[in-house]
Amino acid sequence: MPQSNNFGFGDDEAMLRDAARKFFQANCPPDRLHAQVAHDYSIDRPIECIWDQALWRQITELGWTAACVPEAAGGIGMPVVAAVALAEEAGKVAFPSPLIATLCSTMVLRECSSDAATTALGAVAGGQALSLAMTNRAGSWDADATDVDATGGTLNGTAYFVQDAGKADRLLVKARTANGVGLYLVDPSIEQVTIVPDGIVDLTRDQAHVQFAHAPAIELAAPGTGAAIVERAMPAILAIVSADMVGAGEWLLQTTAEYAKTRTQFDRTIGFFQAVKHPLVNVMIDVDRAKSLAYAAACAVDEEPDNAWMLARMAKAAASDMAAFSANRAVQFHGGIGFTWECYVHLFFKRQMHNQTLYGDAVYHRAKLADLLMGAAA
Amino acid sequence: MLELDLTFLPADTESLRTRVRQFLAHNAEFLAAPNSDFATNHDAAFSRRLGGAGWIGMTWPRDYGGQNATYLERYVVTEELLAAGAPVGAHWIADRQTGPLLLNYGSESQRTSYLPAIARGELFCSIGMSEPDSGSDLASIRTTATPAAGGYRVNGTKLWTTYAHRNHLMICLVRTEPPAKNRHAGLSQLIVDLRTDDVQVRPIKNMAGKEEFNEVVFTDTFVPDDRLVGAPGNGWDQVTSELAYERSGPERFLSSFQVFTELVRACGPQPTQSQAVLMGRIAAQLLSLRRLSISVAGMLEQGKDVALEAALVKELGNTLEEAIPELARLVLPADAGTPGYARALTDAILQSPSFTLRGGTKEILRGVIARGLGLR
Repeated sequence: MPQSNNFGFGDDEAMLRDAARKFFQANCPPDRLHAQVAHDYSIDRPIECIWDQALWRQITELGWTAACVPEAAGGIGMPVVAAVALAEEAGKVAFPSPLIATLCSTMVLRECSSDAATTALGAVAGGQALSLAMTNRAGSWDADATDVDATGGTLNGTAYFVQDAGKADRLLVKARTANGVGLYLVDPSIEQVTIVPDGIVDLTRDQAHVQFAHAPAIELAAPGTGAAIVERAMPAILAIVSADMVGAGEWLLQTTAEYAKTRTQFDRTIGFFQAVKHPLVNVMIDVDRAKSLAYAAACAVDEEPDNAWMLARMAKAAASDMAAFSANRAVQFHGGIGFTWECYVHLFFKRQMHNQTLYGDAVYHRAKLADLLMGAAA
Repeated sequence: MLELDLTFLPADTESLRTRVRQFLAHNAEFLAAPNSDFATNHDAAFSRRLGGAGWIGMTWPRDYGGQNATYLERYVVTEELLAAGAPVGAHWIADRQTGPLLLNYGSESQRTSYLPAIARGELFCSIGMSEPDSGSDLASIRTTATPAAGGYRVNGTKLWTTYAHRNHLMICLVRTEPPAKNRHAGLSQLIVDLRTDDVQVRPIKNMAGKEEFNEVVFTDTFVPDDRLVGAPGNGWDQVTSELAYERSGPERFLSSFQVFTELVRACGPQPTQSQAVLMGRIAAQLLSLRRLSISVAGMLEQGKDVALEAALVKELGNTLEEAIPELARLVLPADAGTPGYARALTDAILQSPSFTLRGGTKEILRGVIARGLGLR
């Protein structure tokens, strides 16, 4: 297969990434994030959906959510690597927003070929936040798994593990029909839809299970076509979520390295000791590996679709392991302060923990990878 | 060099084990904790009951409220308490560490005024070692105690003092002489009364959102002479003598034990292959750690120096107890098991990052072990 010259990541994508980096670094420093999501926490605090909606409006006005919407639907028509670059920058500041959920939903909509999907993509380009409601009670990420039924244009049942459900303007729901799985668009603010927040460890996100009781829905993909569409979109989704973890891993690495350069024990900075500096190099290697794989997966979606699944599973597996390792080492090398609420490390620690299992953990993807590379008998 | 005696629990400890289990069954209302972590469940009422049963300070002489029991008998009691998830946090430090310290170095009046109350489960103690700028490098502490009429004036800050906001006493490591070439010289230990001495105690919220450890600030705090433990300037030797007790017990590998038992329960009689493999792996490691820890208890009984062996138990034990929740959730997610499993797992997942920090980081312990191998 001929290799493309620029791997799909060009000047436009670099410009978008740089703009996102500047915006996030200026508007989302960790002290502001901590004040926003963690300042008045108590164990008994009711589950809240905390985010800066004005900041989200700025982002949609900057056109970032339109970036990967095809031009025909009113977007900018950038490749998946653009979404991955955005996700990486958002991960670096553990950004509480529906950005990742909207980017993932965009990838599913791009694979639908209906007028309704084109209209929905146009709404995303116009600033609408979306989230995927595609997982069943057992938390299966298989393309045909769902506990929602669609009959006569209405939905019944419950979707689980819906990310940033409290921030989404529309939900993209996978539902079962007599003729197979279809995809539907639902307005979660209507009375036939109930969002039940889940208690999760990640303070920078919200998650819910969403109940549908005769909820009217717009058909995005006809019964029988939904599973294949999700299947096609999933490599891009895995690349985006992996990039979020890469960003968070980078923050954990840099913050811990900075601490190791300033904290003094035994009359030396602790970064002097091999027990500290060598594992930090391991973290760096792991972040870099996950980053390379996340970008490779995104480029494959754009340029070499045949390799997309393989690289996406590799990316998510590597990123999940890295997420655990980067977070674990960050707490350890910060010492006691790293185990406190006031230290910002726990915000990223918890986001990494949440990300690890999202869309399948490392074990799941390695098992699937073995099937892919060596046949299902492996 | 590293030497571990082959020690077995004497057969007659089995009747003691039965009695502890009966006690726990009679006091089941206290067993609501989701984990087996010695530092997260403080319950004064439970500690009083345990003291009433004679199981706090049980190795101490009867004159001081003890039972003259052996360290192997104490081992049986502590492992049963931890395995059951009993709330041992109130009396744990006093029983494990403060009591032996006072028996070894304390004055007669300190022993008689504190030990019986500790053994009754009425007097709870905290450790005052770490400071904002002194964690792994303990000898660099800056809290000073300067002589004043009838005692000392203490200035400085102690950090990570578990349950200082709920306990009665803190054994505080202070500098009674300015730093010298021998950085271990000039340190002393004072008994601070957290309720009546002029100290400020500020709870620090941990990453799990709980308030268990504290910052304790001393500002010209007066501590009378008779609360100096041992000889002035002997603090370093006294503190390091505590570490053998602090680092070798079953609390160094059982903190997430309930995740394991709940995992086994939740998986039922027909676990998947990966679940079965993990159970076997954890069980094998728990058994070898238990052998190690019992061996150290036997050596403590014989009065041997076990600082190195204790470091080994803690390093290996912390590695396992930190890994259990992470490994468990990979073979059985929290919401795919029983409610008991979900509770144990979610609690342990946010508590476990502290296991490899408290009481000496893994990095420091490895240094201690390496020194035992003659590598430094």
